[in-house]
Amino acid sequence: MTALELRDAVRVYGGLRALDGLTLAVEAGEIHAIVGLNGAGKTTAMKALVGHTRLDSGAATILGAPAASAGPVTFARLGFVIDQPFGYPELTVRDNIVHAARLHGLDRHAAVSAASSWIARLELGPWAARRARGLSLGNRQRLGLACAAAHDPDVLILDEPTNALDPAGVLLLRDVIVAAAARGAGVLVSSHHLDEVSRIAHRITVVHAGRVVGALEPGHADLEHRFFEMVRAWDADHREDALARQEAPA
Amino acid sequence: MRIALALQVATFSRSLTARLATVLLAAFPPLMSVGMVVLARSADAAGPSAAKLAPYREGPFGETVAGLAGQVVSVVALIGVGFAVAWLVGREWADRTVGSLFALPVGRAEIARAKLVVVAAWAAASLTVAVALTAAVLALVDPAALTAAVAGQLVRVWLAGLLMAALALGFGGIAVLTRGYLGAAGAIVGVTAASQILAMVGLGAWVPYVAPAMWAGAGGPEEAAAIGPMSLAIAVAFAAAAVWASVRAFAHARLD
Repeated sequence: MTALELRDAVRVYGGLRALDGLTLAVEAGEIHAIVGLNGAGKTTAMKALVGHTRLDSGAATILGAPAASAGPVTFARLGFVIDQPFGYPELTVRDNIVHAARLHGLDRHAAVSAASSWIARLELGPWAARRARGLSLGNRQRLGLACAAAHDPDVLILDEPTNALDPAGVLLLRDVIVAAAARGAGVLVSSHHLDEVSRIAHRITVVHAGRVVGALEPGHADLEHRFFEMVRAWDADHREDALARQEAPA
Repeated sequence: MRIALALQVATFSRSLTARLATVLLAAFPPLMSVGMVVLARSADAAGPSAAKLAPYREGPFGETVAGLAGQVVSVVALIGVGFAVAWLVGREWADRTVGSLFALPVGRAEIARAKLVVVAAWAAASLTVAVALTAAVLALVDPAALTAAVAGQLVRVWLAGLLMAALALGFGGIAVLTRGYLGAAGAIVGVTAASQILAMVGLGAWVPYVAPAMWAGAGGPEEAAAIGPMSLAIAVAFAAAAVWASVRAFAHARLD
């Protein structure tokens, strides 16, 4: 089953076509990485899937349901970290995970149990009783991941999840993503770290200028080189578009 | 609603804003209303402050305290509840937590309603304490002053406070539109100032943010008598519309 799909997605901000006919899908059990330069449209695509932004045209679906009209049953199977992870500064790490799990549909007992399990899994034990406002950026990111995944979603969307993580955190995150896909979840992840996504992704899609411009083969060496070749080739073939994007107000 | 309420109670009860606003709502009215009247009638009142206190020097003690309480409770209900709801709603943008409230089984309309219910319940409890404390302090200072008429006037002050608190919930909608609590804080100041001006030019009875205060005796017994059911009905309808609009704005907000 298709976990996520964006079809011919268009989103225009002022004069900038942030999404320009972007089409991509994530199948159940698949880790689909999207890579691209800043402003390529990766985050906008993810935001369209969860309703942060609306599409001017095209379609976004989650587990087969239109994202704009999906109901509680569908949303209970979704977890995401986009832009800023879940985490109220005045609540403890444990309380944040419990509340997030309950908001995702778990009952109180299951939420408390999930919080303990994820605190151990992401090595947040020393900070479990501390308020989130005192956490380092990396630990906030771990907390956000726990809040997005504590209900074992069938669809996981992670925008630049390794940004602030230390190497230990990256390993933990990788385990979480691989384990989620292994139990059948579809995972959409964006990253600037091509080596990192190459290790875990089943599919790597290059997004540029609001559209898909190619794919990279996971596991191949020198992905950066191939990535830039792809992006430059698109810019060379679409000089006017590329120029207009540079001049368009953000 | 239970899940959304649990989150809002947890965050609101741990916030500094709620603690400061609780003091403002519960403790300030009894201290101010009884204290000012006692001060006005003491021999120590002199200089510029004496002129300010002059209106409270004459008349029955209990009625004067109740009249001043109407003024104070109306203002602190609008400002205190306004800031509290502005924080509880606007903090989702200021702390960038709003993004995580999208695409959840618990809808954003439900989360918005939970926010307003928590603030409304807290406001009702705080204002009840404020009016009860005012009556208690009044009875302590002058047991004979707490007559049935004064008690009835304090009940009216309490009801007016609740209505002003309900009107203040609408500032949650301003927090959504301005994506944070600062815009709502500005709106509270603006509405308070505009209300003063409209009351001064004689339009207070038809201004939702003024009529309850006048009804509670903020402008004196004559102005209180001028407030009929229609003025209060307009204020209630305005509060209900503002609450509805706030919930709708939160539920339909985007993060473009």
